[in-house]
Amino acid sequence: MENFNTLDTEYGAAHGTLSSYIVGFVLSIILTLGAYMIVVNHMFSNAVAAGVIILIAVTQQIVQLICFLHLSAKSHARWNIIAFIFTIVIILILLVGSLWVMNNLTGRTMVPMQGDGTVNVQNAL
Amino acid sequence: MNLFGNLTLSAFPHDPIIFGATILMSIVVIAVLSILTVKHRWTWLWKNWITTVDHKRIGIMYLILAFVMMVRGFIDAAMMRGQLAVSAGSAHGFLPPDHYDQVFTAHGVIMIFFVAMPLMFGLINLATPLLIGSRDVAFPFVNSLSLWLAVSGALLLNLSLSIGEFARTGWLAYPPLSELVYSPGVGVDYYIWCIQIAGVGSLLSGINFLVTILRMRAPGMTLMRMPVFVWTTLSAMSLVVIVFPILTVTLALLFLDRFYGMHFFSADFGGNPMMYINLIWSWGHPEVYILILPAFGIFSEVVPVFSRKQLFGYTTMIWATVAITFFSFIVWVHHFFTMGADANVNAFFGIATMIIAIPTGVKIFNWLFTMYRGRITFTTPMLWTMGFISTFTFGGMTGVLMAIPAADFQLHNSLFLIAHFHNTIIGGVIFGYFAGLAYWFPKFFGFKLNEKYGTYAFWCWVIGFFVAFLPIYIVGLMGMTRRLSHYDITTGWQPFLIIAAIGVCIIALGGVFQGIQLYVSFRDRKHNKDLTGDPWDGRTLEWSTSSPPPFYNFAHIPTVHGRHAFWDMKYGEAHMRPQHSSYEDIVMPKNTPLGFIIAAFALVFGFAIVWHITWLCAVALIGIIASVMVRSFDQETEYVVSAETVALIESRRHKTI
Repeated sequence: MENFNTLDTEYGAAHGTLSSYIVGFVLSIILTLGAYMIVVNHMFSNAVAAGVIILIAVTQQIVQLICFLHLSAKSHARWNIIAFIFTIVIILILLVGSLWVMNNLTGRTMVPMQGDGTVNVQNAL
Repeated sequence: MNLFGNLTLSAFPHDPIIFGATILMSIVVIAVLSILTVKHRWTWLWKNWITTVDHKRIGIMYLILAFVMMVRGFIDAAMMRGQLAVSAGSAHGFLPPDHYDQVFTAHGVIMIFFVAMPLMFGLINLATPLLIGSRDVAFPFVNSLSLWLAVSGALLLNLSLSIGEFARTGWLAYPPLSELVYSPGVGVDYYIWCIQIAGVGSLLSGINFLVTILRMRAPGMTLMRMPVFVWTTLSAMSLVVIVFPILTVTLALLFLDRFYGMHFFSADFGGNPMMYINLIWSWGHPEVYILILPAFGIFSEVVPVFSRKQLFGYTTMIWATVAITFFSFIVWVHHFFTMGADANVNAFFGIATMIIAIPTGVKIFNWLFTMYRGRITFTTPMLWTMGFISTFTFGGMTGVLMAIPAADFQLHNSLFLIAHFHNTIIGGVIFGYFAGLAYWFPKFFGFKLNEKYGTYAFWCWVIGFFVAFLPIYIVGLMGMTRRLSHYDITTGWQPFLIIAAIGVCIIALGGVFQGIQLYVSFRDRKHNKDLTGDPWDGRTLEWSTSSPPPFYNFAHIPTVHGRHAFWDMKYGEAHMRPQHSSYEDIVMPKNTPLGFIIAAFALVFGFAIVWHITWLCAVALIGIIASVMVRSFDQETEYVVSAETVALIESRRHKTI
């Protein structure tokens, strides 16, 4: 019998188990709540909080990649790895590029803000 | 809680032009509905089209969507050109500025999201599975969902014409203008949600075709044996998968600004409007390559077939495609050189932009060298291709010109820029998809398109294009900026703008010829029938099956031994056309209405959130989630076509040859 769809038989990636899904689900909830608590309870200064939240976000991405998308070293699908590397390269280009461009712009054009969030036109000019 | 949210009677049209358009749309809708009822076609429509997961039918529906929206986008264009031809000095034309702003915004959104994208997905849907020797796409249900989400987005956009208003912000809705303070109406909300809904569809399609191409190729079809169209589709789809999330997130942040009073992109309270522009162009630049790459692929299929030669430089063509894919990520700042970054930033992105001209040039020369000493037949697909090569090269060179940041400071937001990107999008994308349509039409409808009217249409489009856009280049150099609805008579722009309006009329004539072509071809379909399934003496697998192909595409999945799979079967000595004595059972995906139903809920959700109708939002969201769950727990998504049925269909075909 010929199937129109060869995905089930040929897909080289590892398949998930119930426990891997539950672990991923619980970890995701803990990490999401963690980020929320940090902001709501003002646990750190702004700069530190931003750093910690980014760390938590990246951790969550890795958790989801492993637990939900089954990315592992055992994976035989070469395409998974190539696609993964390509994605990371592109994300780096876009992130580093955006940071560079926006930082450069802020240094050249942004007017300093006062404490209440309004712009002091006198100082700016 | 208000039953209708912010929706009141004042949202319905007062302006005579919009009122007329509303009446016209209603008449068309009512006419279509009554014809369906009178002819008892509802069951047919539901069974064969709305619930279908067949990639060929989905492709055809994408094309219908694209052409319906093209009519509207073209009317918008004609209104703008008409307005500018007369609106000089004391004359103010027929469009008030308020309406004119909506027209140019709608024109851009429609042409990119609801004409170019559906045209692309339509052709990819039709051709890709056949080109790789597959029976369907990897996720047929997701494919149907993508289509209906695109339709929902288009419907939401059209609703804005009759109920409320559309954005007046330009097609990318830059803040702070698109923030609630400066755009308090529902226009920008319509804009956000029609793109969000259609955008999810595009992302799903991207994933779908990426997986289809990587996992479902016929045995023997290695990556470097794939037809170039499949390669360019693969590249375009990887761009879709990477950049459409950026668009979704950016518009979601704009929505949070407008809906919850946040300050991501506001000019004060720590927001930064330039961040929006940075983000939207990191989607927007790859987007233009998403549109043009499959068109490049079509030319690479058309040129060898109609030059009777194999493609010159297959490998360089592939690497040029990959290079364009990669470089498309490092040029986005060239859309806003003038925002105030320093010379280092602008120089980097200017040079990166110029570098893209190199792989593109490689492609142009590959097509020219394929034609060189070939036996060229001047059929319509070939005409569109040749029209493309000259027109697109012209447009590409004006682009390289603007890649110089210093020159861009003069040309930014001028009509020169408008002429440039129309030159590449009409001369590249649209001509490419017209070539693809003429090329693959006999495959999917079983008869060829009329060549005479096709040629007329081609010449009208090419001549009309240059008559319409060369004057636009000139007034751009004279200093005319984009999005003007009125100008002073002493500027001397009017004669050029009148010529441009005449050009639009010539293009419209081309459109009329295309309509006639379709009608005449259909009327004479008995005479120009394609019985062999191979009307052009093609090289790739889609020509090895019947026209139109059976719903399972191939009775036997072909085995591929080289780059020209079908050519080898026909003429190759080593690889004779396989002789099969018996057929096997085939497993195919079942039709399902859930794609349609989920998209219908999405449309309701979009409308409800635009008008702040809270209860309806909740109902629609629950509907979407419930439908997805119903689908997830459905285990019986496939059925078996028996070998006898396949044998019956195939023998019927062999009798007609």
